[in-house]
Amino acid sequence: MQPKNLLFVIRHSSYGLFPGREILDAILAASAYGQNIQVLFMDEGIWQIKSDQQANLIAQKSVEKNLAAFEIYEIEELFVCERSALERGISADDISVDAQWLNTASIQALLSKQDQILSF
Amino acid sequence: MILHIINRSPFTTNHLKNCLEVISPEDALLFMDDGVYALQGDLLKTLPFKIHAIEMDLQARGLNDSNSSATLINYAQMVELVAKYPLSKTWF
Repeated sequence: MQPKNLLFVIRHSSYGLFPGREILDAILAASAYGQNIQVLFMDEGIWQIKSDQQANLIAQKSVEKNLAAFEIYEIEELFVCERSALERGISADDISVDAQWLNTASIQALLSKQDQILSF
Repeated sequence: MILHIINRSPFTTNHLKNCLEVISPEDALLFMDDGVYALQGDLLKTLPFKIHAIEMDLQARGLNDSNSSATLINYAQMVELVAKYPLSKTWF
């Protein structure tokens, strides 16, 4: 079977009502099946890649360990929605992963070239 | 004197905005859980109210109060704060 182009769109924060960490686990699981995986962080999803998270203080596990596993699983195509980051006062220095910043036009192009889009 | 509690991100909900429409000058704001994302950026900079935030919720999310717009408190201090105000209202 030909590998599919899968885009995971993450739009929720790490420790709110929505279980943000499970998204990252799902991405790792999908990568084990040899799919072409890309990940876009937008809207509240931007907070997941904020550096210096100390989630142990609120009795949670940090998402940063899951993010660090991306490299081992060869998930290297990570994208940040520029508009979402700017709205939240987040600059390239504030994020914990090596990601490419995309404007709206580039995000449109990214979305339209996928076989499947998985939204979380 | 009301303590208004915000526990959801102001970037995806209107809770903070709705709260600010009815808040009185003698009231105070408390940010906790994902509500602490309000401290990122300039959202709170010009507000004339007393503002409190749970410090651990900030640190957990990799944030700090760089604009020093809020008094950072722990959970014990939060209990004191809630007890101090005759009314509290959680916006959710």
